[in-house]
Amino acid sequence: MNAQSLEARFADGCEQALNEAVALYGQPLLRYCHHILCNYHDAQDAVQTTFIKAYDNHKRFQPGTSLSAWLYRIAYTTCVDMLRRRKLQLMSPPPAAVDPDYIGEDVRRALNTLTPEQRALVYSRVIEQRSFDALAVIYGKPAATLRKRYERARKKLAQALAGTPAERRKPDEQSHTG
Amino acid sequence: MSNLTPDEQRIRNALEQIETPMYDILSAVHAQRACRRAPLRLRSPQRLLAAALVGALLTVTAAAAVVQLSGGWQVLFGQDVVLPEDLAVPLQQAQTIDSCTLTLEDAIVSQNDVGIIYSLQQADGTPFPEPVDLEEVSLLIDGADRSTSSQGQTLFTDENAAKQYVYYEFELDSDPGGHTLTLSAGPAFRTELSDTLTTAIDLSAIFRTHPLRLRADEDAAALYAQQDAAGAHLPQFGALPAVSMGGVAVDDTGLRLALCTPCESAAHTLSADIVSVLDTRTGKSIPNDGSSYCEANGQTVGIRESRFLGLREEDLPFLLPQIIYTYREPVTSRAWTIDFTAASLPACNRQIDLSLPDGLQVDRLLLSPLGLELEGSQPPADDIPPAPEVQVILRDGTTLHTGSEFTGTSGSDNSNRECFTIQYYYQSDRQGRQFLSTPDVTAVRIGSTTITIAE
Repeated sequence: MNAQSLEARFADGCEQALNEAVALYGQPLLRYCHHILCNYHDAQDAVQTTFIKAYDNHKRFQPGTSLSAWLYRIAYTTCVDMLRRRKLQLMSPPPAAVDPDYIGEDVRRALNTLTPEQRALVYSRVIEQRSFDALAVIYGKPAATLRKRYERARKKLAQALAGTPAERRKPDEQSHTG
Repeated sequence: MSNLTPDEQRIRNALEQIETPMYDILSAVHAQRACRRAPLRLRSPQRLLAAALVGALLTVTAAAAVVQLSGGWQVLFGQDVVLPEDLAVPLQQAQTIDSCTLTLEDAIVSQNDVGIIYSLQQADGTPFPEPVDLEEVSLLIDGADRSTSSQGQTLFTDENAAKQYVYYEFELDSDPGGHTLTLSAGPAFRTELSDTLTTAIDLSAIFRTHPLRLRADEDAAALYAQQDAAGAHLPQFGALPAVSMGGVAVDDTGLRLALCTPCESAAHTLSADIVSVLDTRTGKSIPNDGSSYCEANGQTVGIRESRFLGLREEDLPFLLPQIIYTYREPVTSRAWTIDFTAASLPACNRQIDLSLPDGLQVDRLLLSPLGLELEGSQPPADDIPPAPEVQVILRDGTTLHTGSEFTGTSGSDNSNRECFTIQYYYQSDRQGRQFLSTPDVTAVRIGSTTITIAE
C-alpha cells in the first residue's frame, strides 16, 4: 500500500500521508496565508483548517494531479472565507497589541491596498516565483487572465510601497531600480 | 527561475521583511481535528492544560448534558458538547492486537451516516510514547465498503488516561440499520519525521555526467541510473537503510530531482523527499511543486522524484537540495475488526430547488443526527461565494446555528457550472458541537428561505 505516491496515499485517506503533507507543505502554506491575511495567528488557523479540510475531503482529491496545488487552492479559499467572515462580523478590531503580526506597519498598509486575490498572486509570483501555468492550476483560471491580474496588482503594490520607510531602508536596491 | 523586474525586486524586498515564525503545524492539526469546531493553536501552555483538564472534568459534567457514554465525546468535542439521550449506542467492544487495545466505544447510527468513537491504548495501561496512526479505517456493511465521498475524523491523545480517542464519520450509500457493521481499523504505526536537512550536493556535477533533458511527460525513473551520483553524500536519518541521490533532470516545465530510497512498501519504512531547494543566490528555499514515487516490481529500491516548476539547467550550480526523512514504525501487525449492529435513527434526504444570491443553486438537503449537507451548483467562481447561512429550528422552538465545514467544488470541465458540497455541523447555544434527533427538526432555514421538514 505504501508503495504509492504521497498523492495516491493522501487520496486513500492514509494518516501518514497527512503527516507527510504537513511536513512538506505546512510552512510554505503558513507563509502564504500570512501574506494573504496579514495576520500571523489567523494564518495559523487557516493553515490548520486547510489540512483538515483537505484530509476530510481526501476522496475528492484526484491522484495524478498536484497535491501542492490542491492544498494552495484550499488555503486560498479558506483565507478568503476568513476575511469575508471577519468583514461580515464587523466586530471590534482584533487585539493586535496582544499578538504580534510580524508585519511592519508600512508594508501592512501597502498590502492592504490589494484584494486578497492580488496579495495571493503577488506572493506566489514574487516570493515563490511560480509560473503563470502553475498559478493557473492553483486558482483555476487561465494563465493569461492571471498574468493581467498580477500585473495590475504589482503596479498597485509598487506604487503603494514607493517612498515608504521600508523602501527607504533599502538604498542598495533603490539604486538599481531604474 | 525567471528574473525579477526592478519593481518586483522592490516588492520582494518589502515582503521579505514579513517574518513568519515556524510553528508546529502537525501537532496543531491533530489537536484541531480533535476539537475541530474551533481552531486550537498550540502556542499556549494554558490551552494545552485546559485541554488535558477536560478529561478530568468528565465525571463532573457527564451527568448534566451527556448520557453515560464514552468519555471520549467530551475529550474530543469539549465539555459543551450536546448529545441527547438515546442517540448514541454504547458498545464498549475491545480487541487487543500486539499489546495494543482498540475499544469501539459508542456509535451514532443513522440511515445516512454513522459516527463512531473508538479509543486506542497500550494493553498494560501505560501511555503511548508517541501518538499512533492507523493505516486505514473503514466501516463495512455486511462485509462491503459502502461509505461514499465524505469522511470526517478527529483524534486526541488524553495523556492522563493514556488513551487516544478517535471520532470517525462515515457517509453511507445505504441504510446500515439492522445490518452487521464492521469497523476495520489498522494496522497501527507511528511516524517520526526528521528536520529539513540541507545537503551540500553539486547538482550540476551530477547532471553533467549524463545530461537528462526530457519532455515534460517523459518518465525519468529508469534513466537516472545512467547518471553518476555516487559521490553525492546525503545526511542520513539514524541507523536506518540508506537513501542516496538518484539523479537530476530538466524538462520543458522545470527541474526534477530524484532520490533512491528503500522500497516504501517494506514493513519498516523509511521514505525521503526533496521538499525544497535552497537557492544560494537569495538564501531562500523554493518548495517543490509535487513529488511522486515509483518502484519496479521485485526491486528493493524506489525512486522518489520531486519537481520544481520554473527552475532551469542554469540554476543548478546555485541550488542545494533540502530533504525530510519519514520513518514509519509498525505498532501492530494487522488491523482490528469489530462487528456491531444497531437500529438506525431517521435521517432526511430531500431534493430541493433553491436559488440563492451569487448564483448558488441548492439541489439537495441531507439532514442527519451528525449534521447536514447541501449539494448544488454555482457559476465558475472568480471569487469564492460565501457558504449560505443555515439555521435549524427544533420542535421546542429552539433555533440552532450551524458551522460550515467545507465548501468543496468539483471541476467545471464540461459545463459552465461547478458542483459544490457544503457540510454543516450543529452548534449548541454555548458554541459546542451538538448532535440531534432528526425528527426533532421542524425546519431548516437556508439564507432567508425556510424549508419545512416536519409539521
